[in-house]
Amino acid sequence: MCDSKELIVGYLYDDLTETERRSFDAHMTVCGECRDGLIALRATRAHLGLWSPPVRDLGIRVVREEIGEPAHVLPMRPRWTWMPAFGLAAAAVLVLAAATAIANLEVRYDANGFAVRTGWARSSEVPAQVQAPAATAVAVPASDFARLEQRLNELERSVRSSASGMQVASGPRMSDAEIFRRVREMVDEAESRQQTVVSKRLLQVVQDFDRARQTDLATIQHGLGTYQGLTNAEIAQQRDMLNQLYRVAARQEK
Amino acid sequence: MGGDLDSFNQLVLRWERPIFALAYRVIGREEEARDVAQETFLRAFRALPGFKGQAKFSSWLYRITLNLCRDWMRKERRTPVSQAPEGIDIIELAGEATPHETIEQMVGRKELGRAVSKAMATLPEEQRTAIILKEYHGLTFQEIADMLDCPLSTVKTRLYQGLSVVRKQLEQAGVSSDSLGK
Repeated sequence: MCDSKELIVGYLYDDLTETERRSFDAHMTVCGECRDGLIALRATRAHLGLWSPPVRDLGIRVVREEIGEPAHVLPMRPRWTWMPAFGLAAAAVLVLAAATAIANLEVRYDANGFAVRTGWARSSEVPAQVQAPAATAVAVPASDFARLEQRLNELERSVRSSASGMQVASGPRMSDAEIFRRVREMVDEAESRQQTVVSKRLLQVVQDFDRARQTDLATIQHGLGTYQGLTNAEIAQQRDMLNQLYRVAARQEK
Repeated sequence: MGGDLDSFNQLVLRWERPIFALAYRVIGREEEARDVAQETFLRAFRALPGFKGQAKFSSWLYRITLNLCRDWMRKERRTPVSQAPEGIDIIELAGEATPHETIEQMVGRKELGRAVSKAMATLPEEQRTAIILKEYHGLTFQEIADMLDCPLSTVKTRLYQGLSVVRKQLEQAGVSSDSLGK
């Protein structure tokens, strides 16, 4: 096999000196393998040209991040601060009141003299009147019972009279034929109402559909108009970019 | 500093498409290629004070891009894919249409492009990179050798081998040199 890979590649990419080129040309007149290989690789290069990356708007920009100011450190409030005298006095009163409530303090000044007592254990001195109302509450007078019974009787009477009134209102019994006729009438009325409702509903659906179609058409037309506007804007933008590229390229060549 | 940024963004505008194209062809994924392109410019901007101009600015950008692509492939442990949509978007195709080209010709061209993409995806990274840099970015053999840190002869060998594999892959896919004329 002919070992001329580097030469073939050089020839393929036109990267040989004039002498090397002539020499390889002469070689190919006698070496069919190199000649065919070169033709095949030329075709492969042509195929490679068909592979293109997707064309997308990249819009890459390098931007500097804004560095925020360091956070302010707020001075801490001192744990103990000066307080005015009335504040201290109010606090003292509160503490005293709480202590009094807890101790259940009792101060008495009567014929027996001045007495101060604390604590909760005073059951022996609880006055008898405290328990008395419970005892009297049980004793209901007989007159109340009589009034209650009378009221119940009145209620029963009124209920009976209203029940008999209802029977009167229902009137005499209808015959079977009349019942069938009434039922048929009711069914007819119901069907008629139903048909009216369905017709109205259908009309409403048709109107809604028509309205939605008109809205969609308007939206599509608006979208097409916007798209047309965008396309024109993009063309203008691409033209600007091309001009900018030409300017940059021209500067680099200088 | 604001002026530097504006000037740099002029360069971004000039080079964003070639950089994206390089990343896309190397890793084969559009979104990731976009990320790589963004990261390339970010790194370039940060490293700009250290750029002394020994190499061409474009070569410097290409090198950063290739390093990022390599990092991405290593990290993801992925091989490049041929990312092609299932169907052909006629509207998009019409936008890329050349004058005097029929719809059939446009579709055929697109399908050939897909076949090439698939064939390229089968290549080892070094062969694929060499072909991409030479074929699509027009670098000289020496520039490619410098960029890939390998001898000139190695670059040519990689190109030859890579092109030969692509040719065979295309033949297997039923693509012949006549396909171009259709």
